[in-house]
Formats: sequence, C-alpha cells, structure tokens
Amino acid sequence: MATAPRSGGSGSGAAQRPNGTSQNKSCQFKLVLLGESAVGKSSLVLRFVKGQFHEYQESTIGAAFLTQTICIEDTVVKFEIWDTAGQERYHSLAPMYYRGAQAAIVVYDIQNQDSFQRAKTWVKELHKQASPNIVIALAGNKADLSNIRVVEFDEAKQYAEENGLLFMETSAKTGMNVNDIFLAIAKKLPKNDNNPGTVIKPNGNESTQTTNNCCK
Amino acid sequence: MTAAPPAHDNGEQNNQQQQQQYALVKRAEDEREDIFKRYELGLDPHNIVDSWENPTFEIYHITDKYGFMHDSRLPSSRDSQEVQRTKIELERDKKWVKMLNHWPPPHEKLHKRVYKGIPDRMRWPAWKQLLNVQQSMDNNVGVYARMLQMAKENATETRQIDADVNRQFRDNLAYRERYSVKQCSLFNVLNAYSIYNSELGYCQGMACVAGVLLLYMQEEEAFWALNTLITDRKYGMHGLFIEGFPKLTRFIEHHDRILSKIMRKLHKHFMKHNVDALLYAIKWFFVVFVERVPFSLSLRVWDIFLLDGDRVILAMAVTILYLHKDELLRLKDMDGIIEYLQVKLHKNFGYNDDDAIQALERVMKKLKDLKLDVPPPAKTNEFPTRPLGMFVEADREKKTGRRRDYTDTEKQVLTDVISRQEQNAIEVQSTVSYETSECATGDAYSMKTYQSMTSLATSPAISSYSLYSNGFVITGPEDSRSQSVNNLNYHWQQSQQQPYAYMQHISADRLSNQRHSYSSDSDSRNRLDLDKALEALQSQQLQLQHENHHQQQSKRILVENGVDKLTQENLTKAVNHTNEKNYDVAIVNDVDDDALSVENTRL
Repeated sequence: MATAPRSGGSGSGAAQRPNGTSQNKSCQFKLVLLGESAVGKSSLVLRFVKGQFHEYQESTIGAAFLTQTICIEDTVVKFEIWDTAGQERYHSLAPMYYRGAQAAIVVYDIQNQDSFQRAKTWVKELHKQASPNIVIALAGNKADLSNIRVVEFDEAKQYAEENGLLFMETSAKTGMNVNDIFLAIAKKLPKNDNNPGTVIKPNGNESTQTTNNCCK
Repeated sequence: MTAAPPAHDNGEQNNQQQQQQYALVKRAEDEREDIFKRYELGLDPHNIVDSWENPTFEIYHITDKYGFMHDSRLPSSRDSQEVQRTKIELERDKKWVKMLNHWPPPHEKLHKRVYKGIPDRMRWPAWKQLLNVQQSMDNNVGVYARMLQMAKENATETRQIDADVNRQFRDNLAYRERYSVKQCSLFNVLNAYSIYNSELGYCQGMACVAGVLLLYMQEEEAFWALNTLITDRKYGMHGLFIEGFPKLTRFIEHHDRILSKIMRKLHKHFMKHNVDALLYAIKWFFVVFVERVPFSLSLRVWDIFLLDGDRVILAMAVTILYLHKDELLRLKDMDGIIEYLQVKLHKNFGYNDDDAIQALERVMKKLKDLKLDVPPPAKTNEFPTRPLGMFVEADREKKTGRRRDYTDTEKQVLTDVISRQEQNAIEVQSTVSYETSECATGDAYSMKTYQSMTSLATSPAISSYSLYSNGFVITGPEDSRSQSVNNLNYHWQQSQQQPYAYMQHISADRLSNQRHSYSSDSDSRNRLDLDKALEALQSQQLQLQHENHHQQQSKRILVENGVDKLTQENLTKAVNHTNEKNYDVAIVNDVDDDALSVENTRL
C-alpha cells in the first residue's frame, strides 16, 4: 500500500469515465521539468500548454503544475506537468516532483555551458533516484539563439545517446521542437501490454482495476 | 532715500537683459521654424515622431496606478465608486500625515487605519515606520555602501540575481526597461544583502519581496526594510528562505492543522486530489501573496503583514481558501484546483479588496478564539546564527556554483516532504472510506442529527451551504456517487492486497495522529476523537447497508470491522470527551458556518 503515493499513476480511466471518452484509449503520465534556473523550463511548458511565450516569464517559486492532452493515433495522452524552480536551493524539493514521474525533460540553455553541466547532474540524479523506467528527454533550449551557442549540438546529442535520452534542441520563443519533444516522449512511454504492473492512484477516484497496461 | 546704483552697473544690466530678450526671441523663431518643417515633412519617414505622440502609444491607457501594465485598456472614466474611493483616500492621507508626525500612535488607532488600507501615497513613510527603516539606517551609517562594495568583489549569487532581476515585475513601468533605475537598485540590494546576511545569501522569492519594497522606497531604505523582514522575529523570513526552508515546513503543517479543523471538507477534497499545501502555499508564504492575488489586494495584505507579522500569512491563506471554497470544491482535479489558485485568483479575485480584508480580519479573530492563530514556536535554525554584516568567504563550490551533495538539512527536508506525502496518501485512503460510507448509503440524516446535537452555537445564518461546510460530507449528485463507488472498490482492493498491514497502519496512525497534534492542543484531540466516533458509527451503518450487496463490498466491510473493533474503545472515550467539551466542537463548526459567512459580499 501507498508505496508510491503521489505517482500520478498511469492507471487507465477510459472505460469507467462518465464523460463520454470511454471509446478512446487514454493514459495519464506525470512529467517533470528539471534544469538550471532561467534556462526556459516554464517557457517550454507555457508554449506547449498554451501556445504562448512571455519574454519575461516570472521566476518559478516552488513549482507550477499544468496539464496538456495530446493524441497519438488513437490514444489520448494526458501529461501532468510539474514545472520546478531551478535555483539550487530548491533542489531538495525536487524529488517531491520527480518521484513517481514517468517522464522528465531536463532542460539546459545552449548559450550556457554551466547549465549543460547542471543538466548532466540532473540526469545522473534521475537515473539514481527516480523510477527505473523513467523516460528522460534532454532539451537544449533557446535554439533561436544558435548563432551565439556555446553547447554544440553534436556534443549534447552524443551525451544523450550514451545515456539513453531523447534529445532535441528547442525554442520556446519560436515554438521549434516544443510539441515534438513532448510527442516523442509520449511515443516512447509504454502504452501496451508489456508495461508491467502500474501504480495505483492513492485517491482511487478513477479506475480501480489493476490493469497491466495503461491503455485498453 | 537710498543712493542710486553706480551708473556702469546699470548699463551692464540693461545689456544683459537685452541679450536675454534676444535669445528668447531667437528661440521662439527657431521653434516656429522647426514645427513648420515637421509639418512640411508630413509622413516622410525622416520626420521623427516620439512614440507617445501616436494614439497607438498604449502604455498610458493600460497602466494602472501601481505602474503595472495590463493586456487591455483600463476604463477611461472612473465610476462613482472609484471617485468615492479617491475622496476617502484623500481624507485618509491627511489623517496619516498627522499620525506619522506623532509616531508612535495608539495601537488601536493604528490597527484600525492599517486594516482600512494605508493610502498608497502614504505607503512610503508608513512602511518605513513599520519596518524601522530610519532607525536601522541611523544605526548603520555607511554599512550599505560597504556591503555593496564587498558584493562587487565577492558575491556568489550574482548570476542568479541577474537572471531574476531580468524577469521581476517586467510588466511594471519601474522595472520595464532593462537596467532601469529600479532594476539596478533591485540588483544592488539583493547582491549587497547576500553579503550582509551571508548565511542566507540569495533565494528566489527575495527578488519579489525586495521588488515590492523598491516600488515604495529608495535603494538603501529597501535594503534595511528587507533586512527587517528577514531577521526580525515578527516577520522571520530568514527561516523561509534559508536552505532547508524550516519555517515553510512549520507553517505548512500549521496551515494543514487549521484546514483540518475549520475546513475539513475542503481539506479532504484537496487530499483526495493530491493537492498538497506545498503546491500552492510556497509562493503565498515566500512573497506574501504577490502575483497570486491582484496587486492592490496583496498591498493591503502587506500593510497588515507589516503591522501584525507572520501570523497574517497563515490567516490570509485560510481566508483565500475560505472565500473560494465553493468553487474549489466544484473542481474535481488537481489541475483545475492548482490553476485556480495559481492563475485565476491573480487575475480576478472575485471579491473587492475591502471585502477580502474584512474576511481576513474575521478569520484572524476566529483563529485567535480557537487558539490557532499562532503556529508552534520557531526553532533556532530559522534565524541567523552568524553576526550580520560579517564577511565570510564562500567555499569553492559556492563560488563556482557547482552542485554539491545534499546537506543534512536538505536530506531532512526530503524525508519530511516524502513522509508528509505518504501520510497524506494514508489519510486520503481513510477519508475515502469515510466519505464513501455516507455517499453510498445516501442517508445523511443521522449525521446531521449528530451534528446538530453537538453544535450548541447554532448560527442564525445557516444556509444550505453551511451543511456542506462542516466537514461532514453530505453528497447527492451523481458524479460524486459514481466516484465514491470507485473509491469503495479501490479501498477494497487495497485492503485485499494487504489487509492486516494496511488496517493496522491506519489505526496506528489514527491513534497517534502525529500530524495533527502538538502538545498544547487539546482541542485537536477532542476533534479527532469525535472523528473516530463518527467513523465507527458510519462503518456500522455501512455494514447494514451493504451486507447484502456485492461480494466485493462485503469483503471490504469485513476488513472495516477490524477497524471498528479497534476504534470501539475510542468511541466510548470520544463520546465522553465530547460531552465534557461540547463547546469546543460547537466553535469549530461555527467557524465555518457563521463567522466567515461572507458569501453575500460576492461581487
């Protein structure tokens, strides 16, 4: 019981929902954004969820929570997105958000070498502490500023390959690759029978059947 | 008769006057020529036009009185209410000028006037008084300049501060332009403070606090005002911002405690949807509601916070939840609830500032009556241990900004946060069964009766609403019913998997109730005993209702009975307790129903 109480779970709710979505396969995934301060985590989420971009996105205190639903073929995928504060001081709160997450986007700023190093530390931490099956994507953000880049594309790509990460360079400002990276994650997340036992939502207000897969 | 001035002086003066006249005429001619030239140029691109000359220059139309720019134009004419408010504020200005000249005023007078709202023009001197700014400056002549100089040579937080200054209040005219005077001041204050209070350094959130202060103060004043907020025991923000956030933990726990007592239904609703107070309250507490409620309201809260200290933060948190309880209860997922608290309330609070503040005042009074206004005392780690202003050279990790391993404090935070989550999950499960029993039976009559028996102070203002707000869930709508059936199944499944461990865990947890008790809290125990009594009654009721139904459900009830026996003893105890201390319970119910009944003030 309650071994992973706030996982968000990937329990399917499709069949039992009273809202008429019962025909669709649907899954829900918890996704967390990590990375150094001011690399554009909140902006990526804002672009993905609302299609907007704020030149001066306020700094995130604690964390922000948003959701977005996308469709892949006949599957409806709902992302529960945790956008975290980047400052090192808030690091100790981060596990609260990545605990039980099925996916993570680790963000760095292509103009900032330190932020890339910090991204690597996050990846290490996730490999060590997060769910073993977590899907991790590395996002080199601010790609619209690639003329003043410091982190080379190939360098990051190689690192991502060596560590089994999805990788894209993104720009929250122009929207480049923003939807794509979420889509790539959604595709990589297990949605079929070979996904072993799912975590049950502690509040149990959705499906109560222990399904072996998140989609029916 | 005075002697005439010497003749040569007189001539020189005339000469000067003539020259001045000539220059003025020349200027007028040039000006005329220049203006004609512009009109001749007409729409020629060489004709340079200042942006404010065009009607497309929207800043004036969209900027409010605090300098914040909005998405659309503000109303161009003021309505009668606004005119009235302006008139009142002018009157208050005069009173405040007088009061500030005779500082300190009698406490009651000050209290009354601050709660009415410090007039915006008076915030500068008033906040300075409340935060002891002048005295700090007098006692520390030259310190700020020294700290700033040291920061230039030694600060380790500069990059983070720069990143945050670059995005703090950019929708405000004062901070709009990069490297504007206020942006520079903000940058200086934060850097200097990171040296002055080297233990604290800089934490995200401080930029917002200092940013607000700088809207009303000069740079050095804001530095000392910030220092008062951080180090003075009345405000104690040091404990919020320091590594490990000890005060945050303490305040969140107390916030939960308050919710669990006076807004039980909402508390359970939040737990059910995994809305941990940490998710919405960090920002509330760290920046005292700025950017989470409309700016004008956050200033009113700041006025009161500066007068009465950190307990105001807890009360305001409860006030917000109370005022929006109905809407929050209607939202059935975490997504909606968090969006509501993080975004919607900032755009439109739904109550005017005066009504919101009146509600806050009532909540503060009620919390005081219930002895819930003051959280447990601070631990020593919430205050600076090193002398302020003493320079301490940063270690290399800090200097290079490299990540280090978790410190012991941080490990503790992690453990606390996670155990808190687990605790919540356990409580949700027990809550689920508790709520389910009522929903499933559809018979709340006995609950209502029980409640009215225990509630001595029946309010005249009880509305249908109040029945929902006392923590005893009385639901009828179909969607909650179907949910509750799911909950039931879920519960059974959980119990079936690990029935004994599960139940033992829950009962042990219920008996010890660590989260909700601290030593002086007798009311808490009574209340919780009452819970147990009710739960036992309910599970009996549930048993009767469901015994002949699905196999699954009856299995569950068998397990529930296990709890039943365990809590049987408590039931007897609780009833005795309740009889002795009936009034406690009555007050608790009353809070929700009566004292805070501000629904009529809805805009």
